[in-house]
Amino acid sequence: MLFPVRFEDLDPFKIRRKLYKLANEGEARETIASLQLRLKSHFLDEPLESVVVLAADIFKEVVEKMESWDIVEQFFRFKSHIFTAPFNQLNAHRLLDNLQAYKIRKNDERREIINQLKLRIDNIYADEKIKPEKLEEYTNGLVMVLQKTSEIEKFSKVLSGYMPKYNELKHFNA
Amino acid sequence: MYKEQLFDHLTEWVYPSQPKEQVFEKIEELFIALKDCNSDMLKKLLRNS
Repeated sequence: MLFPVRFEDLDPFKIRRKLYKLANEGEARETIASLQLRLKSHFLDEPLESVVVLAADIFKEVVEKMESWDIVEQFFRFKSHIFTAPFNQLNAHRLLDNLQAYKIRKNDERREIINQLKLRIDNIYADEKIKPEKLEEYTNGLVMVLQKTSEIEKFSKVLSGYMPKYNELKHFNA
Repeated sequence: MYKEQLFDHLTEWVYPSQPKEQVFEKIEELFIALKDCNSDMLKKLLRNS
């Protein structure tokens, strides 16, 4: 209860502190409960006990300490790469490590695909030998327009059908 | 509304032997301290008083 037994002990600022503490605890409980439900809905076969423990750990380490709900969303967006073991072997730190490793892997893949695109552009104009800075400009232009790694990969396979002739390259616009 | 409800509750159940004026004064002080609280917080205050 927020109010002291003795009226003489009633201090409005103490009550304010206790009220805020109570509200924060309530919010934390609600957030952990919603995390539990979400985890359970994605991983029906995991026992409830493990779900509860993992949800509380994610809340403590990610939502509270890192103040990030976005990271929690990323856990679910890339779940097959993040929740890589039974829940009783997972904790928030392991999920963060998995997310980090997944991002590094995807970034490497993207760099590799962009590099392939660049090589293919270079091959199309192999006879004319375009300048490296121009090659960079055309590649970056296409990457900016295509955005998604999967689109860049798809486009680089059909590139020759879309790229202008060498003498029209000065008007190149991705 | 919350102030009235809290006053009724405190004078009737929590501090029944206390002069109502003193309880009223404390509630006034309390609501000044809680002036940035929204209605959810004030409901919580009532529920836990």
